[in-house]
Amino acid sequence: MKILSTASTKIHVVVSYLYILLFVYAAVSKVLDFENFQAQIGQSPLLSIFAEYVSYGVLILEFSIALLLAFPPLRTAGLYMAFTLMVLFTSYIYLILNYSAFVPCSCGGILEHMGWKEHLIFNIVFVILAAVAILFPSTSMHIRRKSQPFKTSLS
Amino acid sequence: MISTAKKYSLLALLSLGSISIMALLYLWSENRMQKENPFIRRYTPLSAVKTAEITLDNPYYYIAGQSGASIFLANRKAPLYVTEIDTLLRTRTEHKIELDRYDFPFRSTEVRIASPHFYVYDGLVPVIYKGLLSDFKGSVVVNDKTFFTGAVIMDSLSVAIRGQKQGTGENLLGLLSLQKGTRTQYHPELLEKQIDGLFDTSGTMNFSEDLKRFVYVYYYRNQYIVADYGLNLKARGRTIDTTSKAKLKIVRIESSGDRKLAAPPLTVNLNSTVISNLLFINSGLMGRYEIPEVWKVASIVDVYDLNKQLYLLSFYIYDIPGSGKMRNFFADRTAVYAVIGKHLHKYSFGKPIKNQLMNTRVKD
Repeated sequence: MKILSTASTKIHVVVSYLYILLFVYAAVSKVLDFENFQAQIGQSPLLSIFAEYVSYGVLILEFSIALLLAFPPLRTAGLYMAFTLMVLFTSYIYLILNYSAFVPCSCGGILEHMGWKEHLIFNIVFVILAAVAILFPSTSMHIRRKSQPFKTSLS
Repeated sequence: MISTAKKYSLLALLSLGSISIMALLYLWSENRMQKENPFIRRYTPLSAVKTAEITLDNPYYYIAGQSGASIFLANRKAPLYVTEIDTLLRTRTEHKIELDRYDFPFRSTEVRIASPHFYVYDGLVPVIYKGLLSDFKGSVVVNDKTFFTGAVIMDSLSVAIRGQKQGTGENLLGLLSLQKGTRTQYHPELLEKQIDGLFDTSGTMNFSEDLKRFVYVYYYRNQYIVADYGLNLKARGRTIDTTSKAKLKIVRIESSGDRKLAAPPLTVNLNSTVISNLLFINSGLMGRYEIPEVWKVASIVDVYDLNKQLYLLSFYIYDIPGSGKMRNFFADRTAVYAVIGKHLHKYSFGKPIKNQLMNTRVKD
């Protein structure tokens, strides 16, 4: 594992892996509980009409962006797409917060237990991470091994 | 390599694009949900929440109407007894109706309350009694040859009725005046025949005092009719399910000439009630993305706005184990009252419904 073997690494690599982890995790938990996921979008105060398309579309996007991010030559394109999808999610949450706060989140897995406000902050952090990774791709990050967050997940 | 400046503008462009896409999707979805809902219900939490209940003596009660802070229940097995219950469902008062004549072959007697009067009628006799709630003494006001199979009191002088066309037996709606010497005016254009004109046009009738509108909801198709005080057509609205054509199998019994349903019908709209601009329909059909288990333990009520013919939201009225599902219901400005077996449950409106209720009455 490259990340584990070097003490410092490029920020866009770290962000890419973070995104892969997030998207694959979220997508897999949606697939495992697909009916529920569709029902939640159907009940959403936004997008109800498009529940069918949105439910498949989000899954396809999450998996394919994760794939793009996994291949270094396609990583930059993947980061742009990840950034865009994350802005989409964030604006969705913003609309939810402003128009109706009682709909369950259809994000899947443990993310579902986050409140909408926490979710908004979480998403904004990811948007910023993607933006930084795109703008300053060769910035090095010094990662201490102890706090390596995805040691087990990536191994 | 793209320059940093270009990257900034690209990111800004992407964000702006995504935000506008989301906003557009939202607006578009909202618009279609209300106007041409593709059968997706919206269960907005806290639309209606159970706040009170009372146990009755038997399961044959139905809600006859409301006056002031009381709702009135009539009973299928005891047509001349009326039970008055305060809207908090705490105290009960029994009333016995006295009539000036009893010498009719009653077959399906109904009691209706429209303050300050009560009405007792039997469209198969046919006869209509009217009296004051203050003394519950009724006297015959109509007793001619105007037969009817359904009626709704519009005000102290006129009743909307569902009668049958001579010869064909098809349903038609009419305006029956309680004034002496006036004839019933029929409006055959209101009900639209699809199969036999009798079963397929059956439905429930309501009147909105605030709007001065008559509302007819078909049982077997996704439609309702809004007519004015003179029964002139004002609008045809659509309920959110997809059954635009009644699905009925009707057979004719040769020996008696009767028509009967050969298969259990697909009932779209089981029951309805109206308050002001809101139409409440107890639906018989499950929508998309719904959980079938919920339908086993609750009745589903869809709420529509009669002014704009829009679908607003849906809520549950829970069954009572052992007593089954809601049999009939009635709405006032604050709540829906539901008869479930031997029980009367009150579901008070929360903000999502209160905000949709019209405040002003249409002037007479």
